[in-house]
Amino acid sequence: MSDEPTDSLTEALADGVLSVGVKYDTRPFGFIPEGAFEVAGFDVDLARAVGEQLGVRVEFVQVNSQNRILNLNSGKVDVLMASMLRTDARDEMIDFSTVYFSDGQSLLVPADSELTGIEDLGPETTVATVQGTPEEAVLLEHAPDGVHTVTYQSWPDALQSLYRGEAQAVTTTVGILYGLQQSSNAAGRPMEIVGEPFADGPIAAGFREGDDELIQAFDDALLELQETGTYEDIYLRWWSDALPDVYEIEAR
Amino acid sequence: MGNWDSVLTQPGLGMLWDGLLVTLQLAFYAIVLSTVLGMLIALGRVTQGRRTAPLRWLLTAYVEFFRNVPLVVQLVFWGFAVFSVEVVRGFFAPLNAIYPNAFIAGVLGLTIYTSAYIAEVFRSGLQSIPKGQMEAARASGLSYWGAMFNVIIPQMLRTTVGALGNQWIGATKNTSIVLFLGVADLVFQAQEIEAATFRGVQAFTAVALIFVVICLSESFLLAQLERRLGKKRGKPTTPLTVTQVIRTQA
Repeated sequence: MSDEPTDSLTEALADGVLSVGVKYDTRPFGFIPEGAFEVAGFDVDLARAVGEQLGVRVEFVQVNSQNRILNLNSGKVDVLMASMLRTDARDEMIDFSTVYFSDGQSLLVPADSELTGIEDLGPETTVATVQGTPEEAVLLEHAPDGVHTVTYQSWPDALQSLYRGEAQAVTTTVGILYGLQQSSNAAGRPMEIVGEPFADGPIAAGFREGDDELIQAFDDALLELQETGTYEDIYLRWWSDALPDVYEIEAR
Repeated sequence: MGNWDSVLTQPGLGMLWDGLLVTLQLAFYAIVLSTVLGMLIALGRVTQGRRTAPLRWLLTAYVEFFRNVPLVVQLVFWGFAVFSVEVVRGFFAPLNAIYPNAFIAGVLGLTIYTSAYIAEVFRSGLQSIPKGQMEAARASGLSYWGAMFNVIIPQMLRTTVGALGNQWIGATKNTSIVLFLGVADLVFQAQEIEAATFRGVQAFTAVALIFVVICLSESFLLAQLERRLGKKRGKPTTPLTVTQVIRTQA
């Protein structure tokens, strides 16, 4: 990591390209749809719209929960739009845009499960999460004592642990759970999101520390997209079933 | 190097300790089971005669298949495919009080993968022992298996102890791939510390040192075994004479 202040905006405008790190396996934020070869999703559409607003072409790079911050700080990508929660620990390492999506953390269980929410968890239950995410710590903070956790390398892996009975629930933000539920239902394994969300999940874009011009331009672009109604179109395209109330982006 | 608090204070230290226990158990089971299994496969492959031809063919297929598929692919197959079968889970259910299925799948995958390599080590070792040894042992009145266990295998072990050590060390390092199945080994815990503190270098340096210590201990154990087998350092091994063997038998 260099200590020189970065100015990715000037570079992006000069090159006409902005590289954005997105997930390829986390429906509906960023994923490869059935039969397609191009990444799609809420993060992806929003990144493209922001790119248009800034007058640059957006280039997508695949990242995952474990490597996304490394990819950002190593300069492989300039922006992360990877279903990333804004947390204090991460804020010390990178800078964030204003929050562009918010949902709570909840539980996904098989449709025939007797679990109805976080209060039903205990020493008899195991909950699956993904490494490199704060969900496990948040769960342990809110759940009854003695609950077990198992940690996988991707959300699809965590979902499949429910099929094998290795875990009884998956916990993460409702947005990701909704995507897992869609995939699972399509595969003939009905799932349900249960209980009231037990923690906030503010999702924002990540930038290298001190990349202020780009962050400012990004925030302005998000607010502009909200003004013109483009943000609402993109929001409803991906969330009309799960979270129909359109999120309101606020200036910082 | 910066601040080492992430691995020298709690919770980091405790996480590494938990991970170490998991890694040691994975390595122990994989090494013991794959060495025994590898020996059995090698003995099967050096049998003679037409009756055992199908066995030889089967064992050759086993070795070639499991040697030539990447370990991570095999582990994912065991953990995510085999263990999604109800019957398999039922079979291992009694063990679940101590070990979760992901751990069992990890041990299975590591054992089978490593056994294919160890079988090759032992097979080539057995076939390198001059034919005359077997003939002389049989002529002295030992049965085939008697000759195998008393004359051939001890000599084979002396010549293969180095290659066997390589396999043990390989199996130890390969335990880290089991984190794909959700097993919280040393490397997994290092990643956890990195995710929590963004200080991965210290955690991974600590893990590197721990692995060096584990693998050096294994080499030391094998060196002891080599000495027990009567090999003087730097001298070529001299096969036991049949007379010596008979004398120890008498």
